[in-house]
Amino acid sequence: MEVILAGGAGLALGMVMQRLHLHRREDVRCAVGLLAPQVLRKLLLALGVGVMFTALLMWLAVIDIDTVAAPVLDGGTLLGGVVFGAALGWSGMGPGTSGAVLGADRFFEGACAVAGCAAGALALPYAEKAFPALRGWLEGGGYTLFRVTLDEPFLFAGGFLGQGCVGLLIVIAGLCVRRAHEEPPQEAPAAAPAAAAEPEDVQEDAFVAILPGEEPVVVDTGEEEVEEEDKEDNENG
Amino acid sequence: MIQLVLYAMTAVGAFLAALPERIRRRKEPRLRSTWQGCLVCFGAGVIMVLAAGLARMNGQLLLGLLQGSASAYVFAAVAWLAGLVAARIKERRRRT
Repeated sequence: MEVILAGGAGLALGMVMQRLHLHRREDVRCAVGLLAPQVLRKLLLALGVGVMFTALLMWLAVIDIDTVAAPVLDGGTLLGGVVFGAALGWSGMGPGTSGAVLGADRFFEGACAVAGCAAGALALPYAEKAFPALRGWLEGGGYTLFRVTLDEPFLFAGGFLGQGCVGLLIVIAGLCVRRAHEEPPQEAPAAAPAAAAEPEDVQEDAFVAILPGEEPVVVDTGEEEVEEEDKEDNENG
Repeated sequence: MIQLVLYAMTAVGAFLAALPERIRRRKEPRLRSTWQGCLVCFGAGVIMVLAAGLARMNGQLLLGLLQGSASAYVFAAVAWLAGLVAARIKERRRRT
């Protein structure tokens, strides 16, 4: 049963990743570099809604809070974050999105990404011997932001409501990203000037200005009088 | 086993979701893999799995973000800042 659920969840996850354009490495790179606000907006909205629903399900006891574990925050978290982020920003893919890359256009790049993740997983037990020295420069502990477990230490009071507010803040941040990069609204094209109500009344040397919803206004440019004066001058001269 | 099934079905799901667009654009030239791209993807996969292991975030990042783990939020913030710099440098090099 669990295998079927995992398969269904993976299928849905792959479809969502494809719709979010996470299979395109360029789009992911631009989203991380704040160069593609529409992708970043989608990611923030997805994360924010996910945090809110997780808080709701934890409050309703659908998610067992005994399974919630807070990983230790120490020097390894910061160092690993820097290395992970640099590789993510440079390559435009992550361990989670490599499966989506595999199922998209660039099959061989996805296959290499999956092979790289597998090689990393194989090398991880050997690298664990060097990790304590890399983690030890900053001591820390495992915390949750709010009190959502029975025994894990937490940083702020507020419980599940506070956790839901964090999700709401992420959603608002996503909406602000869109607004900050939104192009100014284009003006509606001006309506085509209506034809003159009585074309025979309009003289050839008159300038006609017609505004939408208004009666045609005929403005005499005075060119006819100037031409008559010129003719009189020529005859007299 | 469960994680392997989840991972494999992610690729299947992405393939199925991309299928209508592929059929619609079957006459247009498709994006092709390059050996540089393959090399970058392989190296990035190794480095990211090791970095996530260093931070104890292998398979825990998204879960930690959803469940409110402080270390997951710190890891995501630091990773995003580093990724921002790396992505900007990469894009600048690519466009010049």
